[in-house]
Amino acid sequence: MKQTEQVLVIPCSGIGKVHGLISREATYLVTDELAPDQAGTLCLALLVKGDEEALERVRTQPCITIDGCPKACAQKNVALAGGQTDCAFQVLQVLKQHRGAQPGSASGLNEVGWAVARELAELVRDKVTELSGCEVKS
Amino acid sequence: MKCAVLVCSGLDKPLGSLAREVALCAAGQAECEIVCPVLLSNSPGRYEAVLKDLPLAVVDGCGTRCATKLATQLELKITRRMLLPEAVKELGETFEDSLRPGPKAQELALKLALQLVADDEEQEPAPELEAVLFPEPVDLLKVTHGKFVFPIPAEGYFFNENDCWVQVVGSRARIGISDYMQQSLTDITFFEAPDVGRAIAQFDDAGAVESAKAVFDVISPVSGKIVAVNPVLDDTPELINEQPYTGGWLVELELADFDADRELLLTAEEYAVKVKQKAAEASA
Amino acid sequence: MSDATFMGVSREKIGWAPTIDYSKCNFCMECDDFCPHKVFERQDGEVKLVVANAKNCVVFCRACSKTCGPDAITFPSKPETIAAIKKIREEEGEAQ
Repeated sequence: MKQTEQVLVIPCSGIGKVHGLISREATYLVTDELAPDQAGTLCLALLVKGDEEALERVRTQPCITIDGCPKACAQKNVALAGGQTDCAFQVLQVLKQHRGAQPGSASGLNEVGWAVARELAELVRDKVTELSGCEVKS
Repeated sequence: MKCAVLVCSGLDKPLGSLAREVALCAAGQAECEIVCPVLLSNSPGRYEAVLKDLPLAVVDGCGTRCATKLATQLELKITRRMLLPEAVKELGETFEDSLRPGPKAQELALKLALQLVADDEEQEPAPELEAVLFPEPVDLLKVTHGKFVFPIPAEGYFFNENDCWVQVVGSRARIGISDYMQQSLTDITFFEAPDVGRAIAQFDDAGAVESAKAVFDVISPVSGKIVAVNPVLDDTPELINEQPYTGGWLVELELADFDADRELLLTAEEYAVKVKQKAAEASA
Repeated sequence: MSDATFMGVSREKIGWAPTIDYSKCNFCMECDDFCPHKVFERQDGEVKLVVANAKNCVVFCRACSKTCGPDAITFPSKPETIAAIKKIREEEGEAQ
């Protein structure tokens, strides 16, 4: 499978919290809709478990992480795996701008949640475009 | 049953997304605590209290079994476990091939969640089972390959080429895996037991033995009705490694037709030859 | 391993191997990741996975099919396989 040109968008596992769900949905928006050819994703648990293929991918492909909370699991684990995060996003950066608005629950986003996910996805898409422009990671 | 649900991260596969949905439903239905595998791996202390208080249910979306492996690595006791491809199949359901579970997938997730957190059924008292004494092997044949030694009981056991043994006493038999197979699998973490009461044919599956390295289908050397499953393996699956021919037995059966089964089984000497070949091939 | 046997019968003569139903397979590669015997092989093009080494498949093992979400992997019937093995054993026994 040739995936070397792809930019990896890696959200935190974010199970059980709405912020995690936003990071996940934003990722899907990028990989399915906004930049399906340039971006792919990778399961964080697989990386944490030390899967060889996953390790190889974060080490050789450009990475963008999206974290639901300041624990920054996605960013941390990419670093631990020996990968280089080219850009790290946090859901809270975008959510902050929607002062006090409730984005939904862990099992589903509401309108605000989707708006935040989409806003975030667009930021990620811009970064993906930028990164996939320079194919070889220095 | 209120429990801690450790679920795989399940990001890039439809069944992974379903796993997450199952965990969320379980949390909604039985006030289960969801355990995030990534956070657990990075800072296990975060879940210490939850894991101390609640029984652990593990849900894996795919055969990589990240959640199970993580639990094993942290030496957590797994009370319930669900491997989604199997669980979905058992329900006779199909799943939508999508990362975002639609209404049908959510319905399915709810069903699976209810199954996961269902209270233990009132166990019917097992029908009086006359205890049979299975003697320990007296002599062992020892197949050696390099620095490895693979013992095989010289008498009283038969083998199939799928590395499973049977010990017969009267009309009753116990089956298990050979020392060679337990060494190939390395540290065994789980025995997925078959249902007691089920009749199986010779060479049917009689559960599966799992290690971090692989999942091994137990292929029954004999036909018969399953009358018991080794009760201690839930807590100490490592017995399969430590005493593969005795304490680590897997399943007990009431034999259907051992004379017919016997035709297709190997004696200790014959199996020893096979083990020697297998070990040579494996290291080639 | 042309001389490989199973239950005294040449492995070549035993038709035990997975079959992939391509109308169901989504090429998730779970089975290939799972199988330690390299029965499957990935390839470029539309059909990304094939059963390349059927003879490596452990007779009676169906473990890979349990990892298959879309239920796209099937195996021959066990009773029929056993009957076929018995038949070959008998024939070869007589021949000797």
